[in-house]
Amino acid sequence: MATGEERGTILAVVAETGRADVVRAGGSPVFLAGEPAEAQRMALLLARALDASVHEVTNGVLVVVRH
Amino acid sequence: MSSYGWSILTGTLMGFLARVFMLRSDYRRYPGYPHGQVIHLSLGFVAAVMGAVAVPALAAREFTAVTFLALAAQQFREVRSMERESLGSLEERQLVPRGMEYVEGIARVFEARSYLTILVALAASLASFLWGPAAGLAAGALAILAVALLMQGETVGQIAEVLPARPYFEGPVLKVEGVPLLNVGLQSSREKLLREGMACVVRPRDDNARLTLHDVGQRQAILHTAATLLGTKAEVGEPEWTPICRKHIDEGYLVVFILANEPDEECLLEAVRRTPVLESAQRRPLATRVGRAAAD
Repeated sequence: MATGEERGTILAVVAETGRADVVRAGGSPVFLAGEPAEAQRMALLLARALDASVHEVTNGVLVVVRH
Repeated sequence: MSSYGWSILTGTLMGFLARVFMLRSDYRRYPGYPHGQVIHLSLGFVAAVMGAVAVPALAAREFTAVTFLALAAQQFREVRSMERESLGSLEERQLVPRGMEYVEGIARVFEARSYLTILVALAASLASFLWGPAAGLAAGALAILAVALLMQGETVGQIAEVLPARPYFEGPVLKVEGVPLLNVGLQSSREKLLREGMACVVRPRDDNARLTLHDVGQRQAILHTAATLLGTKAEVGEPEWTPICRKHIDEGYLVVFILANEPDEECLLEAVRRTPVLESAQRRPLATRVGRAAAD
């Protein structure tokens, strides 16, 4: 569990390459994935490594957020 | 034995029995907690003696002895903060915490039980002093019965209807009965949540109940009870398995979603129904004119 200002922080963004245009740089790293399955896998690994959860922002873009 | 002696004896006995009886009724809060029980039984014994000696002390014109009771009250207040502290410090590491409101409620109950013990002892020793030991025992038993009946708090099942519901996904959002609960990004997690998750709806019976269920502490208490009785797959570092309880903001009903170890829907409904209504969560808007007028 995170505390204080860390709550609700976007730790990473995972985007499919075809959807990379909807993401702009700013604060958190952006990972590009070739296909949906790879994006899912990257997001899962990031979430487990960071103790965070994965949310979908729009089609093909996932964010890894610590609550 | 003198009537003083009998009076103290019956008072202490009935008071202590009352405390034992009240300890039995909260097994859920103390599973495998023998030392906690010893603490409360010892304090219960002290409380019983205090209640029992009050009547003989007055009869012997030892009026100052009654100041003992004030001292006792001070001691029992400490029981409350002791409970609050020990349960509160355990809370931090709980995956599905009771919530501060629940802890406060438990602490308050434990303080109150000491006073009830004194009252039972007082009633028993008074009756024994006036009409003999047999009357003392009878009065004590009656007092215990009265305590048991009066101190029975409400449960969620009494103020609300608990019905089964189906979880489903709308895009990435997990929903139950139209209430969005959680944005789940991972396909595999969505499948698991749909496969193993259980949900129910808690529909308040009136506006009093609606405001009670609005209380976040009350909702946490529901989740804690469900997770304690059914088990939960919630895990450190994997927030998506944590049970959730949210309100439909327009209709006021709650939805509960849990990934339980024991996926038995009827048991989930029963667990939610038997959750105690927290004293701090109780609201009575319908008791006022404004509340009734606003309700229609």
